Amino acid sequence: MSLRALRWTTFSALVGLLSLLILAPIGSFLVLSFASLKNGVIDHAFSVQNYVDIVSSPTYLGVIWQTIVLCAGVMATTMMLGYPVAYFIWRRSPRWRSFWLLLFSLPLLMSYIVKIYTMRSILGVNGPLNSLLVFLGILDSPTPIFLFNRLSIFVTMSVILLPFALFPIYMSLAQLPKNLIHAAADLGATHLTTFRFVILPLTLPGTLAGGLFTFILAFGDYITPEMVGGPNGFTVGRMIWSQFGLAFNWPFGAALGAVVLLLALTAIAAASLINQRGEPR
Amino acid sequence: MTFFNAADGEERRAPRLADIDRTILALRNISKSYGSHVVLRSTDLEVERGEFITLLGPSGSGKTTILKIIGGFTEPSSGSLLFQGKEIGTQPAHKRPFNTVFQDYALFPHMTVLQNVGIGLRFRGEPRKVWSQKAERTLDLVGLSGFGARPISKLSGGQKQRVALARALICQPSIVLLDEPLAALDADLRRQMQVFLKDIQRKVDTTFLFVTHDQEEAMTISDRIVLMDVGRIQQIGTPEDIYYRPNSEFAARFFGENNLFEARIGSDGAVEFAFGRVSPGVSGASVGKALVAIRPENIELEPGSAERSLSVQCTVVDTYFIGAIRKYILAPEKDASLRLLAKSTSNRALHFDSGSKVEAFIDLARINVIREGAS
Repeated sequence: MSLRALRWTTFSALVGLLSLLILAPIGSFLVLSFASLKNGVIDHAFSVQNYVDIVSSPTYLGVIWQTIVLCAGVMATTMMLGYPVAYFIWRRSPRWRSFWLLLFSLPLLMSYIVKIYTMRSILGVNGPLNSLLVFLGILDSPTPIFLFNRLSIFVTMSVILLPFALFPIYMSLAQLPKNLIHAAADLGATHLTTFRFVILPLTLPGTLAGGLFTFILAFGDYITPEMVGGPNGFTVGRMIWSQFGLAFNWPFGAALGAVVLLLALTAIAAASLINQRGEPR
Repeated sequence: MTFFNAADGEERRAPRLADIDRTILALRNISKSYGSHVVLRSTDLEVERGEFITLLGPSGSGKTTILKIIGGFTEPSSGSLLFQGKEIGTQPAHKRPFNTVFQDYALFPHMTVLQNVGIGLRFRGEPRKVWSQKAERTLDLVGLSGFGARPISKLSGGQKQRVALARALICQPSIVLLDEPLAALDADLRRQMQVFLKDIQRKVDTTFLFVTHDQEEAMTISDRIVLMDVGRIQQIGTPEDIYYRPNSEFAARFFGENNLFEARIGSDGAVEFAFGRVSPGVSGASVGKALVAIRPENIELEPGSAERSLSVQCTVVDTYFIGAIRKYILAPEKDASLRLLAKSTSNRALHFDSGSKVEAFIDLARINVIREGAS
C-alpha cells in the first residue's frame, strides 16, 4: 500500500469511527423522537406527536423557559466571576500564574458528585453558611431556604461550572499581544481606559465562549437539580431523565432531548453572530 | 575614545555637547541591567529639537532599550531622563509627550483605520466630531485618504506602517519614537518608506528618534547617528562623520565596507603599516598599536588627482560588477596574504580582469588612523 493510500485509509477510518461514536447516537435518538409508545412498546411508525405535545403543553414549555432563565443566570454569573479571577491571574508574574491556574483547575479533577455533596453540606441547615450567618447575627436560627429550590441549583451550578468559564477567559487574556497594551499607554490611556477600549473588547469573544460552555453544560445537567433542586427545582435535564428512567417513554424523552440540542445550537449560533458583529468588516 | 584624522591631525571628542536650548531630551547616566546582565551601560545622550536622530547598532547593542526607557516601557536601573530640562523618568508612559511607532505596528485589530488613528484623541476625551475630523486629516498627511473605514486586517504592510505613524502623529508628540518600523518590509518598499518618513518629519517639523540595525537605512534617513555596540554608545555624529571619521574598529567595520590594517605609531608620530609609513602622521598620538582604515573608494587603480598617494603593486584576485560601481579584490605583491578592496565607478573606460597586474594608489589624505585599546 502506498503511503498516500495508507494516509487516506487511516484518515477515513478515524472519521468513520468518530461519526459512528458521535453522529450515530444523535441520529438514532432523532429517529426515536419520531416514534411513539403504544401499550409500553415502542411503535416506530413516523409521528410528530411528541413534538406537538411539547409545544402545546404549558408545563413543558414552562420548564424549558425556566431552565433557560436559570442557565442564563449561571452563564452571566460564571462570566462575571470568572473574568476578574482570570484577570487577576493574568496580571501575576509567570511563576505565580501557573500556581493560581493549578489551584483553580483542582476542582476539575474532583468527582462531580463529591462537589455537589460539598455544596449541599455548605448550603444545608447545619452547614457553614448558616453557622456564619447566625454567628454574624444576620439570622436568629439556621434556615433551610438555601437548599432544595431553584436558588440552590443556581448557586451550585455557578460554583461547579466556574472553571469552565475561567479558562477560556484566561486564554483570551493570555493571547492579547503585550504591544497593544503598550500602544494604548503610549497614546495616553490610563489602566482603566486601556481596559475599556482594548482589553475588554478583545477578550469579549473568549469570555462569551466561556459563558457558552457553562450555559450548555448547565442546560444538559440533571444530577445537580436532582440532588439540590428539591421538588421545585424541576429542569429540562430532570424532565428528560424522568422520561427515560421513570416513565420509560423513550420516544418522548428523545424528543425533549432534540429540543435541548436545538436550543444549544441556537445559543452557539447566537454567540458566534455576536462575535462576528464585534469585529470591523 | 580618541580618534585622529591623518588629514588635519586634529583630535576630536566624539560626543558633542549640544546647546542647552536646542536640547529637547537628555539622558544622564542611564543604564539598564537585568540581574547581573547589563544591557545598557551608563549612557549620556542629547537629542536636539527637530532633528532626525537614529540609534544604530547590531542586536543586543542596547538601542531598543534606550527607546523603551524614553517611551516609559522599561524602567532604567539608574540615571535620569530630562525633557526640556525637567525630570520625566518617574512619569508613567501615558503621561509622557512622546508617541511610538512600534516594530509590529501594534494596531488595534478590533478598530477601523479611522478609529485607530483617532484613538489617542479619544483617550484624551475629545468628542467624536473632533477626533474623526483630525484623524481624516492625519490620514491625508500620510497618503491614506479614504482608507478610514477599512479594517486593519485588509491593509498591506506599508499601509499599516502609515496608519501607525498617523496614530502617533495625531497626538502631536514632542518626539516620535520609531522602533525598527521598517524591519518587516521588503527592500523596495523599505527605501520608499525611508524617503517618506524623512519627508513627513520635515513637514510636521518634529523630532524623530529612530531605531534600526541597517546602516544604509540610518545613513539615508538621519541627521545624526548614534552608533551603538554591546550596550554602549560608540560614536555620535552625522552620517559623513561616522563614515569618513570612524573612531573605533567597530565603527570602521560596521559602518560600510573598509580596509583595516594593523599599524604602529612610532615615537616620531609616524604611522607605519603594511604598505609603508605615513609621515608626518598624527600629532598628539602616543606611541603604540593602531589600525589604519582605508575606504575602498579611496583606492584608485590609475594615477588620480590625490596630492600624496601611496602606490602598491597588486594582482587582481577577483572583480565584481555591481551596477554603478565595480569592486576589485586585490592581493598586494609585497604580502599576498593581505587583501585590498577597491571600488571605482563602473562607467570608466579602464577596467581590469582577474589575474591582471595593477598599481593601486591609496589617497593618503583620506586614510584614518584608529588607536587601538582606546576604549
